[in-house]
Amino acid sequence: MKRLLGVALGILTAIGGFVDIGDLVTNAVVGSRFGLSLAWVVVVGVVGICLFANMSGRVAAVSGRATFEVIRERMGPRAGLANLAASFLINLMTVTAEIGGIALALQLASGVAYLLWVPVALLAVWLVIWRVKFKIMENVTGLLGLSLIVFAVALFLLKPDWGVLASQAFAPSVSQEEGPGVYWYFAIALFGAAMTPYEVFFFSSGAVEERWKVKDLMQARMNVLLGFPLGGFLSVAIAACAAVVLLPAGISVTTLSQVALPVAQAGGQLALAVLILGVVAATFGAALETTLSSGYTLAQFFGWSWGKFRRPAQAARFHMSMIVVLLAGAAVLATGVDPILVTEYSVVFSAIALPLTYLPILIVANDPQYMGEHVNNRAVNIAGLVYLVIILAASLAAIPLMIVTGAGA
Amino acid sequence: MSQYGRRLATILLALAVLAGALTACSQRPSPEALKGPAKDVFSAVQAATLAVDLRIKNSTTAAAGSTAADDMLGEVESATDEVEGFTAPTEEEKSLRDDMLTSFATISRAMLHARDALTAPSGGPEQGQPGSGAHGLPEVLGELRNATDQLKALMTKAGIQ
Repeated sequence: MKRLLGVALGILTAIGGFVDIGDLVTNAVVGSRFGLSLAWVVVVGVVGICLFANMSGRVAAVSGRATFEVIRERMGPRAGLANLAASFLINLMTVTAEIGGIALALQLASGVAYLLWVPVALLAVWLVIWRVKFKIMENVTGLLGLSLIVFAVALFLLKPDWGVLASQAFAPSVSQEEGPGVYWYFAIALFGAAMTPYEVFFFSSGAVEERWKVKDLMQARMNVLLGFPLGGFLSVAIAACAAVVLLPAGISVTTLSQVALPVAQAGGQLALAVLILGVVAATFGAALETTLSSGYTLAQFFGWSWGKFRRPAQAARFHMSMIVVLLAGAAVLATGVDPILVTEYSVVFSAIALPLTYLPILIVANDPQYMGEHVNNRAVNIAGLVYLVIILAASLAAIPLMIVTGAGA
Repeated sequence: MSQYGRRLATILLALAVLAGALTACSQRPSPEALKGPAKDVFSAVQAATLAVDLRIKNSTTAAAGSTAADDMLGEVESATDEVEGFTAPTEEEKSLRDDMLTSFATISRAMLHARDALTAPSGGPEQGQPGSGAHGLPEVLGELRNATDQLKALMTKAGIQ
């Protein structure tokens, strides 16, 4: 019974923890401009993140070490540094976007300017990382993040024409108004939002924090294979709400306040309150994960002592690097840069950096020296290679499309 | 610096100068150039209208409504700045730019009223309250809709789809 509860909790946490500011904003933007015609990208992204998260979780459980640590050792410092540089830059952008997201959600709740909430968000994130146990931190934010199910409820309350939504999703077409360049630019952004590199590093380092063993692999697999697709369903619901209310009104999403309009229309103030709770929890949880991911990657590359299972004094450089990352994110926001813009760029740059993150994972997951009998089977390797081709194509096309379309303007 | 390094530096400098020159060139207010800002403002005013409508129905809170109106006001200001940067060499283009800016100003004013009315706890003061000069939510909604119609008419006239 205890094991079953553990599985259920893990799945629920994975659902609630799947959506972050990148998913929220990108899905709402895409829904308001293309309807559900990019829903297929969410499916492709979710399958990809399941594949690689599962692989990195297996590496951690079998070797007892986090993926990044193994990559550094297996592939040498130069390849490790390339991976670190790309992942760290994306992490920094994502931390900035998530802290901005917390502040924007609190502005929505209070009416007080988001810039005043930035220091509060920063302090809260740091305090939780400093004081709260890993398991509690992960479960509380994940479960509260489940409030974002309000998007799915709102979609039903809006009584949409399901036939129209289905035809958008299953027979996607590019509207003349937007053009194919913009369509593919947002496809890459959506793919980057679903496959953000921090998720796999956090997942594998979390496995070490929670001391997974080979016997825990089944539970981990269920968390990923059930939790992430259901999280992807939430992403599609966000896009669908925007497609039903904002697209027909000619409203193109550029702010978080616009994302809330369909939910308020469907469910009134109660739904809005649940939504704000969900957004705060999702962005707060993601801010914790990205900050920790930054600390994990740095510490694992340089061989510092790391982990929340250690007291901060025993992992001083790990904790100090996270404080610096948080301060850097807050400093970027203090310039007045739009957090939504940071989010939009972070998901596209995430797509650009994907090959540097996922290729080493595939290599390590095939090394019997670390994995023994648990190396990837043939089917997983074929799927992994197919995904590497997709990732490479997205990565190469991202910058030219960004220039040609004026970042999807 | 090696010869290769010098050549690379020259190419990078040339690219930077070219990029600078291209971004410094101001656009002409053709319907194509005005399309982006006009659509941004249309989107913003529609969002503000929806926020006011939801507030009237008590479906949203004062904080969320006023945040939406404030955000949308920012969008209109950005679009206004963009259009103000256009240079209009012909009378026709100058007239189109000025009409667009007048329409944006009307929308901006309506949004300011919307923000003030949304910030008020009960959706603005009672009608006719002496000395307040403020607007109630239904009046603001009407003002926003009129401003939207004006922009739509202008977009149609200019051939902006």
